[in-house]
Amino acid sequence: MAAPESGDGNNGAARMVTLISSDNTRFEVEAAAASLSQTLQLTILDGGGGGGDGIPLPNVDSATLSKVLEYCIKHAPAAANGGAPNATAVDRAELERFDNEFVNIDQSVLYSLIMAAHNLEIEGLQSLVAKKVADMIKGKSPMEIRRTLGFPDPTPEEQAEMNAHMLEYGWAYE
Amino acid sequence: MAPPRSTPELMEDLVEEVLLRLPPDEPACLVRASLVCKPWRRLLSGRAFLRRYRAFHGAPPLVGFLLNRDPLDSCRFPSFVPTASIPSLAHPAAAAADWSIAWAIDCRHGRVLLQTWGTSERLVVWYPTTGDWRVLPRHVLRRCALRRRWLRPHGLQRRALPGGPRGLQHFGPGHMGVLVLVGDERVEHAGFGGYYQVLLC
Repeated sequence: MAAPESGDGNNGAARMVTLISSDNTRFEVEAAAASLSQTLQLTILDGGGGGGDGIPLPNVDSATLSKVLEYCIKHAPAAANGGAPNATAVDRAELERFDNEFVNIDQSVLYSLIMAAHNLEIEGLQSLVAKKVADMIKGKSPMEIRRTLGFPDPTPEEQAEMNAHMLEYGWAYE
Repeated sequence: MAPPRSTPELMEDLVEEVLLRLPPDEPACLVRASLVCKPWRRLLSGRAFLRRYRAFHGAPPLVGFLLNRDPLDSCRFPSFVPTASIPSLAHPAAAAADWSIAWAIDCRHGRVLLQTWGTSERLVVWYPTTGDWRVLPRHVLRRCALRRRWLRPHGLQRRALPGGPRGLQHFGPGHMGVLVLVGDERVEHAGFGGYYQVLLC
């Protein structure tokens, strides 16, 4: 599942780069979008990723990479404007709507996304997913947080410690 | 025995990114998160996290204030008036029946200094987020008295203030002093990381 458009060269079209996921799927994407990743930006500035070479990303599978690129493509224009000083309120609202829907996904995908955002150093995406996970645990008790995030059941010692703390900080559980 | 698993799938620095985004105006969130597991508790109580949390969210929010009540009223203990999502604070009063009146005279670093009257006239340090308290030795009270750093509620007058605690300068009908609680350092080990603190109004 490659990106739909494939620019062929630099004749007026935006510069394209190729990214290769861990399972060897090639994604062709505008350099501006890929450059949202601090890691990729350095390689691209050095002239990497063009032509038939491609940049291998051994830590990111194709499903995750396609999601990451969806984010990058959407956010690239605003980022190119340097924080979008001339962005309209409509543009910003649209990005916000996109972000909200973007993280409305399965938890395992969220985890893969935040790992990828971390590895590729895409600050906006990492922040977006971290906020989503924080929202997921916000109103929950320690046990509910453990269940939500897939922790194993607590050992009897951990359980006893949790109970003792809950007694001490009763107000946090009212 | 299997080694303890802490944060499956999420690496620790990503956990930090998540916890950093828990809302500061709901201190209970941080407390609850600190009870999830030991690595989280270590993370939340670390100085590094505190610094980042402060930088990320800015000044700590006001979580409420303490109101010293007129000792002639039936209420003999300062009331906590929450302005954030703290439902109530744990009063030591029930366990200290021999204090007929407790008066907040200072408030800092998550602790409230109370003076009590009744069968025992003492200075008491109260940790409002846990309800713990510690009665200070009598010589502390005597030393404070010598330095005029405490005030009797009945004798609380404006003219008494120059030598008195700064926080008691706010007067109004129905109450005699307001102390502002902006959080608590006592829960540092449990997750506030010292972000919240107690300030005088």
